[in-house]
Amino acid sequence: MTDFLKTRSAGVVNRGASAKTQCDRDWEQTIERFLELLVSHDSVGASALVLDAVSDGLPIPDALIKIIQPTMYRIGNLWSCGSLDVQQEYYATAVIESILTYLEPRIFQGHQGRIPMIAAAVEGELHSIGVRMVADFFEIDGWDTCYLGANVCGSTIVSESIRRKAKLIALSANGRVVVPQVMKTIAAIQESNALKETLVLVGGGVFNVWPNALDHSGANGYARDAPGAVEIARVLIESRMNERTE
Amino acid sequence: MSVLKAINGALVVQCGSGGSIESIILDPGDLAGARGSTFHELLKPDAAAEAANLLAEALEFGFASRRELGLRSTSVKWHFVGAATGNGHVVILAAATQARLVRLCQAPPGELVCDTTLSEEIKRAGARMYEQGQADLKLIEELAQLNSEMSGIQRELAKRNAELAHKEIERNRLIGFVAHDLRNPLGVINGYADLLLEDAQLSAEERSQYLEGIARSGQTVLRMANDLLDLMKIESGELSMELCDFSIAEVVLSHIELNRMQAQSKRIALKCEVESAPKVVRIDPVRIGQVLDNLLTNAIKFSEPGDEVTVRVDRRDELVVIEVADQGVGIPADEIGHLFQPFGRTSARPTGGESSTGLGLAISQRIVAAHRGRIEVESALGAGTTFRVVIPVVAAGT
Repeated sequence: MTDFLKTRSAGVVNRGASAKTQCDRDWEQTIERFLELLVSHDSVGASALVLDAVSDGLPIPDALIKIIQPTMYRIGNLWSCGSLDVQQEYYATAVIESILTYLEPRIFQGHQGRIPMIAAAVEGELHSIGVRMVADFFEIDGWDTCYLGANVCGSTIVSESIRRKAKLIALSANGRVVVPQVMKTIAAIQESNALKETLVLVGGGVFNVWPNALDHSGANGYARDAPGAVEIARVLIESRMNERTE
Repeated sequence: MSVLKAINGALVVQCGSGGSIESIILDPGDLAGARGSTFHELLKPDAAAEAANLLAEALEFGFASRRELGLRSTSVKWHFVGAATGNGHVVILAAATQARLVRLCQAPPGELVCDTTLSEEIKRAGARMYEQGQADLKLIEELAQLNSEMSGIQRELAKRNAELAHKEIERNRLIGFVAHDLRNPLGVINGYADLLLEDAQLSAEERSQYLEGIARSGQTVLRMANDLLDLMKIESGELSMELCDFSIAEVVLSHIELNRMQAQSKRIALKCEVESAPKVVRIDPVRIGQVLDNLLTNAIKFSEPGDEVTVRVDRRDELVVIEVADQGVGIPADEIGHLFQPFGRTSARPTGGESSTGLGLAISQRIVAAHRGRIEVESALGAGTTFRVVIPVVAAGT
């Protein structure tokens, strides 16, 4: 059984219907408000909403998963049904990137000598908030992360992974059109002698809605979201270490 | 189905010159009661001035260019254009997105406005908007890419900044430990030197005793200076490993012999099992010897008279495992995590009152890491401690 098949089920988050609690409704209101501020081009208000919540004690992972992620999904949906321009989507993305830039200094502890990992959106993929949040979750979990950004060509991913001695590479793809690029990048990683032991995780919109893309990707694992990616990476790294010591 | 009706999230109204809505050509769904009200009333209060400008521009120049205005019914700003009919009326077209507004402008004559000339004018405006939109989009895509790159660089900077701050704290901590640990032997040297200088009546035996004290303390200071230099070299990447194929059994046996006298002085038995060792391993024999010395010295320091210290070397697939096991006092579980930090001393005390620089394990761990290996620790209070050095038989990168 491949690593991917072993871990795939673990990566799927149960999104089954359940009764909405008061807490869900509170988050819903926050998300609606955040979305409203973003689409009405109120970057100051949108930033303040998230940053003030964190200053008031909201853990950063909650800010990422409970506010930013669902809002980005909604913006994507509004764009895909034509209710938002691509310009508005870019605007929202820029504001959220700015919010992440303010939040991230709080998650960096400055420790060294932890497991190095690389996170990138493959060439042709311009959506990078998700994979950046993946990098942030790994950082919070104690990994030494390097986020390469959006639209990163395979050769850069390979050379940076070698340079940083990455043990894990997280690749993101949102659209079907970039799936071949994911496959090419993974093939290039696997062809590199220096990265023979490096694990590859994939994630992003296309893998969440089109499972066939996973079967041919050649990745060691898949995760539906950032917390899932950290969980699967731990399992994969641990099982690889056990294989070595057996 | 008409082209116009197929466009969701759009509105077309005809207004009088003052902005009163005279007819609703395309209703986005909530304009049923709007006839008779004014164009301004459809908008958020802060859009009133811009709405007046749109009407004025259309009446003066025949066409008013695209504006983004807030509708009362939605939080999203809509895109608006206006076209004058020639008889003092203005047709206002609006949509939730620019792409929809372009499609709206391309609607066939007769569906949008009956006036063919006006319809053509709107179409041309739509085509202009489309071209401008494409140019804008390209620019926005490039800006978004640049912004994303800049944001990524900011993330990297924040990370490096945190690492520097952490290093600064570590450096200050190290300086504090060094100053503290140097003070004792230097104090001893100063004390004995003062006595030797000030008291001319000292016996030869006393002089000899004080000079021995100075020499011992001098050795401690020297050992600490050497360890610190090693650590600094390793941390700054200046200490290069001189890897060669070498007999690991030979390294182990020679360093056991080096430590045998110290062990015997405490009545500790040193045992060695190297039969399963690989013949040669890719190592820096001097540096791995330094690691072994450190582990053996520690094992002896923390063992009681009568205890045994055993060194085993085994091969596990492509790895060589060098184990140094003692039966000594052991290390509390919650202190094992600090062992490899510079000056990361534990509460366990050497059984013979021996001194320690507090740097040996930190240096050993870094030497082993430079061989792409690791040091594992197992300990039980009162039962002893086992250190395992695990390194590839053929060190990676060679």
